[in-house]
Amino acid sequence: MQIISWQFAVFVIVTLAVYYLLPRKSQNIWLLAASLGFLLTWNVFSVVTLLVSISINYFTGNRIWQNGVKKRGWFWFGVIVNVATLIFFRLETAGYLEKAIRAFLNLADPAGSFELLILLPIGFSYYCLQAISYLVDVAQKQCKPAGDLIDFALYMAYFPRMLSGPIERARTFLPALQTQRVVDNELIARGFTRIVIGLLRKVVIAGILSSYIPKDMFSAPANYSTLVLIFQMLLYAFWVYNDFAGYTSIVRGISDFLGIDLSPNFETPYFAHSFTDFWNRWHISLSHWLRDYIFFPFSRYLLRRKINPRSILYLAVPPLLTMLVSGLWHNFGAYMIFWGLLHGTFQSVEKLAARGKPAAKWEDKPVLRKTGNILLVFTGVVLTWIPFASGSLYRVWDYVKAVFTSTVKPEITTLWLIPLIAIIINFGLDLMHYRHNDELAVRRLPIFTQSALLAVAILAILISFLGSQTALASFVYQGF
Amino acid sequence: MKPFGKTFYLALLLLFVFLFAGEGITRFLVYKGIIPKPTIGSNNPGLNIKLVYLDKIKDQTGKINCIFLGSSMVYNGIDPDAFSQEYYNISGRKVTCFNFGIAYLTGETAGKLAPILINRYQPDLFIFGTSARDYSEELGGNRDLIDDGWIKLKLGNWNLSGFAKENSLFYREYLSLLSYLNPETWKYIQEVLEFTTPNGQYKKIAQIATPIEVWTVINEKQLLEKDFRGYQQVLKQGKRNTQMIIVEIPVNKEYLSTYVNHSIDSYNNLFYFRATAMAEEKGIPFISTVSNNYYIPDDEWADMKHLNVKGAANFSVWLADKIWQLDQAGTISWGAQ
Repeated sequence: MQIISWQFAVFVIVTLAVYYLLPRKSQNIWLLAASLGFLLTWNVFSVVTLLVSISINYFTGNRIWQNGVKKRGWFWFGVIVNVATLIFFRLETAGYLEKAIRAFLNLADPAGSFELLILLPIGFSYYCLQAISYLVDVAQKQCKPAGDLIDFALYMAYFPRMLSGPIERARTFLPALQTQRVVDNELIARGFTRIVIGLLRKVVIAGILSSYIPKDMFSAPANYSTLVLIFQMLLYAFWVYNDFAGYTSIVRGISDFLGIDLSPNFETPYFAHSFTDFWNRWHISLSHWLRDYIFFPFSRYLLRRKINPRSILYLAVPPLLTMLVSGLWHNFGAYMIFWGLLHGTFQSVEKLAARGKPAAKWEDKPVLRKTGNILLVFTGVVLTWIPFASGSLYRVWDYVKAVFTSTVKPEITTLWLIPLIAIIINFGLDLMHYRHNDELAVRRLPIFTQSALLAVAILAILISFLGSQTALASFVYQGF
Repeated sequence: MKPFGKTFYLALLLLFVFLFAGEGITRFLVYKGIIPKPTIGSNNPGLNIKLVYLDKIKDQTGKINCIFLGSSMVYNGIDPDAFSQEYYNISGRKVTCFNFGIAYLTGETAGKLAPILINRYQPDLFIFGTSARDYSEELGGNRDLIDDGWIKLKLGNWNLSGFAKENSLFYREYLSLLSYLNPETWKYIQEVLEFTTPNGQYKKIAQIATPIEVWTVINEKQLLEKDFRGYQQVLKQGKRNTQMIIVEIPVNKEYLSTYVNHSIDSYNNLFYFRATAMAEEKGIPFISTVSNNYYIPDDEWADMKHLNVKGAANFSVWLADKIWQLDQAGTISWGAQ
């Protein structure tokens, strides 16, 4: 069941109706049942994998707590099981596993003799990270193990965040499940506004942008002029952002109706003034997970090994390693490794360039400098979308080559107006968010203006739904 | 934060105000002739334009006597004026006909369009011009037409998109604006408008001398069951007030020998015998060009499977004679003149 579907809308309404009637304890049981039911609409295999993962991690968490800090066997068992399973599924979906088995069995026939039919279970790469963070937090005594299996299962299976996160932490999410939830007027207002903004991003902005990105953009870049190739890359950057931010906003809104706050994932990423800042604004729940469980531990490890905190090794390697892991988490393809390393390199260079310089306050910098920084980071990020979107390193090369060597005559048409309008709407939303440091800044406006904007947004969503000739249902980050 | 209830209800109110104001202003502008009446807004501009033309003829004459449906082979190959004139010459009956040929139409889409056109215009005669290409993967196109909301609505599947297209000029103007802003779609619309006559025929005078080897040969595996099911749907539309007739649209003799699986036998076995048998089963007349040895000289072809203007006129005259024979045999019952 896709999130952008009438079936999901009915599912949410029914879930909410029953949820409000139940006492807190039963609410969790109901939410868990609804979450498993939601997953079941995708496939049984995903439900089975999730249940196995819940059992192993629940049991392991309790054993870690009972054994204390000294004995780390259970901790490493839990982490290795999760990581190994993720690697297994990643290898399988990337086709490496099948290739290896074919080579091992000496199967010459490239097709037909057998086919591995293991799919990546829905949401696995997201709840797997939640499981690891739970085990780490329990091992580090930052949170107690979940006493109640239902609560822990819900932490792993909670349907609003199942498809693409946000990746929650046990230390904040479990207590929220154990307290009485009050869904008041304010929460409903927040939830509703989030859903409308999310749909506006996904259905209107991302919907428009996706229909203007040609399917052969990376497979046949030579068909396009330099100007068009650059413009298409810009469209891609805004599309991927609005698609994912739209999804996050919708599911956070739904969760608000359930009285459970989900972590934010986006804070106007294209206003980032440095690459480090970008990762504090883009896919925040993943980048903070990587920061807490890869970057910080590795940096601490280097310090313990008496590495100078101002050395190249200390400044460059942790970001590179962290972003490499980020790339691998997305996909085991060489192009994603390149994407990760590109981001890691940008961060490393940034840290090395700032070495020894006094950190100037961002607010004190002149406007022109600030704008320059933002544009520079934005350009760098757009460049990194090329490997992310292309699906192969050869295509990255072809694309970059075409940008510099294309002889196709650029054609500026009225067609460009529509995606430009979509980008302007995106800019308006982000600018309000950025200036007020509030994703729901629209709610600060006078009631009439707020209502008028809401009405226009709903109208735009409605018209986009009706007029859409493209598949709007799935999200780009569902693929991970 | 401000209380939300008021904002929400005001937003809903404003939404209705915007919708009704938009609809009202659009209708006023269309009524005053300041902006043109938008087409139905389906995902096929050719279909939209044909519906506008057909509505106009119906408004002018009060009755459409016959509609020809088919692919570009019909679109190019049937001249409704020549047909009507010949029919008048031999029978003294004036009939108003329209060519509803749509480029790339397949059996599947024809199966959806036939009931819509028959219910909307209630013609005395509905002529489906068909050829093996209507059932092939390779040569068929426009298949997404069947997913269009308006088509679905007209076939009895209510949906908001179809409802809005059917009832809201405001929404249709928005869709027209999107078409206008899309250079490719707009170019196509301009071409359709330029070369389609008011009675629906495509009259671009062009002789395309493409070598025979270039023309697609339909492979046995490319013939699709869903297109034959669509053909079955067309056959089912023969009703008390509308006589259904199937016409085999000719292809160039040279091409016929390679058209299906490189042999005339394949053409007969995979398409012709099956199509005639299906029509016969339903008691629907099937007018064949191949078995009637209808000869088309080289100067009447635009290309290997499309007749040119002259060819279309002559073929339509021949067809009128064949239909007159059916009329004489009592197969056709024309409505009151």
